[in-house]
Amino acid sequence: MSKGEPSSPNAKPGDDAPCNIIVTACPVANTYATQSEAAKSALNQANPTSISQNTEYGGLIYRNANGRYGYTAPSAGSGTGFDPSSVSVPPGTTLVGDYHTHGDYSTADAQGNPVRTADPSQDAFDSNHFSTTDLRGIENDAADKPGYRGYLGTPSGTFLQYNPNTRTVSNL
Amino acid sequence: MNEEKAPEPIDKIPPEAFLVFREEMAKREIDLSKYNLHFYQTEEVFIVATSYKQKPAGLRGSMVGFPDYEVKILRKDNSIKSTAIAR
Repeated sequence: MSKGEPSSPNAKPGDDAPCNIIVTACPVANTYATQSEAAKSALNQANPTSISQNTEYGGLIYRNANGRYGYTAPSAGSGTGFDPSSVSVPPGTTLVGDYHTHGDYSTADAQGNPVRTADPSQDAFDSNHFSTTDLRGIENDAADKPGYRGYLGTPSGTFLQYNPNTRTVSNL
Repeated sequence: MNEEKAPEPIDKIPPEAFLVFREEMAKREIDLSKYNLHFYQTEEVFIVATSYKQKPAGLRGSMVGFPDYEVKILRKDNSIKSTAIAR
């Protein structure tokens, strides 16, 4: 499928929506029965590349008009951050969460940029956990969006989720 | 991890803990005037999180070249538990 084309002649708005040239990430064609399944699939796609490149990747989780869930393809951030507002959900869908990854275990250079160690005992970033700025950002983005969740892929391979309503972090 | 409560935001931390935070930042030659400070607590620690004042609102982690920090101070004796760069 080339960018801008619907994946099938019968595609409905918000159901496997076509890419729009102004968005920075395209929806992935598969859809999922639950938000968690979509998030797991997104992180399974993003995390290995994130670790190998030691770069944060991320995107958005959305609900289609037919009640199934999808995610935008992983977009690259920087070595220390990812901005979900750089991505849009497809037209006709509802934003229900965001995901990002943390790259590999790293120390920091003089400017605070990550330098890979691949060693959890030498990690200046606490990469296996949400940072408080992650949690604060998810809480802000969840305002007026019941059910919104933040998802994280870590260098350990563990996936975490944050529920801003109960303010709890758990394994995905 | 089964389920873990996120650190609870609080208005401020005790002066003794804040002094430890300031000393840690001074040791790292970090100019605090460029950052907003945010305070949290758990049963074990106080946390001071810095956020670079010019940082985009939605950004997870830090801006390139402008790291945010998270300093955890043990409540029991006001010693540094850890200092991490926010990612």
